[in-house]
Amino acid sequence: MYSTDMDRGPDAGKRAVVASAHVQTPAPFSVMCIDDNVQLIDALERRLHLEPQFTGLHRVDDLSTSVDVAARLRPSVVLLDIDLPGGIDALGLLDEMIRRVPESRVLVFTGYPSGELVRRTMSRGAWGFVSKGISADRLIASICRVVEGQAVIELED
Amino acid sequence: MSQSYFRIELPVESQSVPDELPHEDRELHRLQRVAMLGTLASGLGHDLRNLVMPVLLRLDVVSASPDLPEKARSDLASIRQSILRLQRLASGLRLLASDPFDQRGEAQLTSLHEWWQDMQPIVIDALPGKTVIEVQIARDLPPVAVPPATLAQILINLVLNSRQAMGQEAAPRLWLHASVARDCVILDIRDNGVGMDAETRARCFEPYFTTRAREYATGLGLSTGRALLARYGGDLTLGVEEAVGTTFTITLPIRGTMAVGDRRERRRVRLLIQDPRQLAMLRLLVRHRGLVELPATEASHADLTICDPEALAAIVKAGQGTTRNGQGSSGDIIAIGTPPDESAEPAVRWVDPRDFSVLDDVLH
Repeated sequence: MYSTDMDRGPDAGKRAVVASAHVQTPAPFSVMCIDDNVQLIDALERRLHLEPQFTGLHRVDDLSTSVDVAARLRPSVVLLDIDLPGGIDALGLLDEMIRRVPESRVLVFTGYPSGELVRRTMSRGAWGFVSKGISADRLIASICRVVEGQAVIELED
Repeated sequence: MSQSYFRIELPVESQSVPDELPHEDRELHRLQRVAMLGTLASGLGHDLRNLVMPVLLRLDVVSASPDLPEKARSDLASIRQSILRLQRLASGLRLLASDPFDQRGEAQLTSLHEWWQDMQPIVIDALPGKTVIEVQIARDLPPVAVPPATLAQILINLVLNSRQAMGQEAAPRLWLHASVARDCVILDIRDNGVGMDAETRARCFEPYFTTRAREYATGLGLSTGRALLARYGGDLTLGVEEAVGTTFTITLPIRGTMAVGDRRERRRVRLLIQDPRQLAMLRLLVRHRGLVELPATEASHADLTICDPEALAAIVKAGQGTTRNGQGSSGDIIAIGTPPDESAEPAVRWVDPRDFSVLDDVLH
């Protein structure tokens, strides 16, 4: 089935670059958040609880075990800050997450979005790419769409 | 329009370049300072974003409370507006900090109306507080083929020139006016400053020519701006001499269009791709190149069809081929994948799904 976001209305595809192969009814979903901004994680957890199907947010205290934790908990979506501090190889983490936990869909999250980074992360197997410069509504919608099996690229332009 | 949102006072005086240094060293010193400011702006923009997102998320949570008094709801809406402004400022800083000479991986098109939303707080802040800014940039202008960051840096340079020219003006005024010519958008930037004398008008595009103290200017702004625009088929010119002020005109080419009679129409693309990730990336490329995406199921004429091998097989079977004018035709065809047989469909261009960068040239 070839579907376009344009089928949903004239403005649907304008700002969000959304692609969907199979749009399913919303299922219960959990999110693992790999980000060094604790305020963001706290706020995201509070906001996600407004979504009826949201079951819980997993935090990562130790980055070195994040893939192990994901493999055990199998979150629906892994929100991965690609600009992790301290010289952490986030792209390597992305690769390992995709290889070891393929059922968890990785949504790349960044404060430094670029077309090149979209290419590098999406071609490695990320399900989405979201700039930190977008609105909170669009961030939440992106998470929900990835849960539904859509790929999402949200830049602030 | 005159309030100041965010102001960073940099200790420029204390970092003055020693006079005894040779000219080349002084230039190097200045360039290092410019680079440092770029890094600072980029870091500040990043930090602002990190701070803004949690606030927006919390605002959503509070606003969702059903028993909120109307007054509180109105306060929350105002807070949200201010925060969104801050987010725009962060986006504007990012545009200014980006390297204008290397925008290969970035959006190649600028929607001027949205771009101005990002630029506005920075332009306001770059001018004296009493400056009135009049802007006419229509929402429905076609996207122009110059990256947003490149255009941002050219504009801010012109605005800083205007700031200097309007230094003694009691009622400083800046006009930004965009209009469509045949295959370009013309952006005029006019101020009511002191204007230029004959020598300055003649030499202003010369590299290193400046009327400002060397301490504060490199004399490269206008020549660099013109060179940057030339890369994209655009131009920067000085308007005719007027009694008051100076006008600069930025000519911005429109791309993703083709001539139809005496009009230009945007190219229409149909994406027949099942893989969600490929589709999302292709959709981004199509949008960044200013092309119009047709619904996958609509039987209208496309100038270009990008499809996967399954869809290609269906197109070939239906006999639409690569004709450009038939009802519901596919136009040029790009298939994403590995060609099954070299001789199967010679008119089809195949693109490796692991490297969409080649599509940049095709879609331009």
